[in-house]
Amino acid sequence: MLPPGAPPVPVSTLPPAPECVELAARIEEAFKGKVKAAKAMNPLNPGIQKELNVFVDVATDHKALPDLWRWLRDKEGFDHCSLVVAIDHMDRIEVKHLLFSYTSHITVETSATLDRIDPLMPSASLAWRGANWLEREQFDLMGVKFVDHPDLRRVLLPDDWIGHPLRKDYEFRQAGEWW
Amino acid sequence: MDLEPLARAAEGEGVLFTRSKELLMRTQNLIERQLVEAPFVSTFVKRLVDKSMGEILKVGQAASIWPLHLGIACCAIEMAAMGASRFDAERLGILFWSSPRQCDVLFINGTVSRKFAPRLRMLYDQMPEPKWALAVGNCAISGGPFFEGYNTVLGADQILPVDVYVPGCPPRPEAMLFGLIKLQEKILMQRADFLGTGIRQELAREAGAH
Repeated sequence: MLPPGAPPVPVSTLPPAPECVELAARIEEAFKGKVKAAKAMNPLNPGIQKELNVFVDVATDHKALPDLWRWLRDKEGFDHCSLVVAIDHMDRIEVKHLLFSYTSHITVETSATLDRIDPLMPSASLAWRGANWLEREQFDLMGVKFVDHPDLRRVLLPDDWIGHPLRKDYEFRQAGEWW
Repeated sequence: MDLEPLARAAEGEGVLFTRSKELLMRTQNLIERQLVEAPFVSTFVKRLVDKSMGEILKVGQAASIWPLHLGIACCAIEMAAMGASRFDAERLGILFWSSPRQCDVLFINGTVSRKFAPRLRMLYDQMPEPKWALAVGNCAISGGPFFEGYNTVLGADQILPVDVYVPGCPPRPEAMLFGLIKLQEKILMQRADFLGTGIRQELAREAGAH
């Protein structure tokens, strides 16, 4: 959060790249009714980060995600799952998968909103094997349960850890910790 | 004195005896066994051997500190600078060694996390006696800047006994060398022991008998 009186963060007013707008339109056409919104983002740092200049944001229900991922991988050539992010808004959990294409240099971000008590969602590790450990990390630290994940164990914390420490309501040094 | 088994052992395990520590331990055991079994050696001679050899041994231990070559975090970079040519820790006999089986000193140079703590304890347990531990940097002393982390062990002394604390974030290489020199002073101050518990028990028994 910015302190009061701070100058506002400059927002890019550059138009999104045309291939990015076309991809968003193709996604909306192919997944009409399943995908909530697919929009091309404005370029963040024009001229510096080419990958971030083209950015498609897809907000969707998590039931439509496996079809969308397979479609992106097979038809659009997105060959790399570069990041899995989970955000804890206190009433819901938002999980974002960042998919990257080495041919077109476009990053697609699929985001799904989950129930905070029981965050279940499909796994992208069936489409991209590299998403395996990224999703294990989100399970470890945020408690997102990827239902068809092949090997859903903790990856960073010890196996006997209780709770998911990057949740906002995680109690610091809760009972049972010995140090 | 029968030195034949010692020579045979040294011949057979040549590589392992690059370090004088095992050789020394075998020598100690051998002399102790000879002294215990010798019927006509007086208690005075036994005490003389124990104390005089112990003094020599202490100087040798202080002059050949071998820390475990273990890097946890950014203090390990300063540790590398300490071992390199500008500060040249090896002129004090401090040589980094990559196996805990031949080491005297455990350098704890970084944050000890909850998952790493059992591994660090295992490394410490694998080192032969006598052994010492240095907590280098604020993380290893108290958790440091990661004090409020969910995964931070609040100081390495929670899991193993620490002899010297070197504060700093990270400490300068001079400070690490100063900590090692303090450790040398500590080694030179400790009791002169050369022989093991067997000869000590026998001496105590004889002292009680008289």
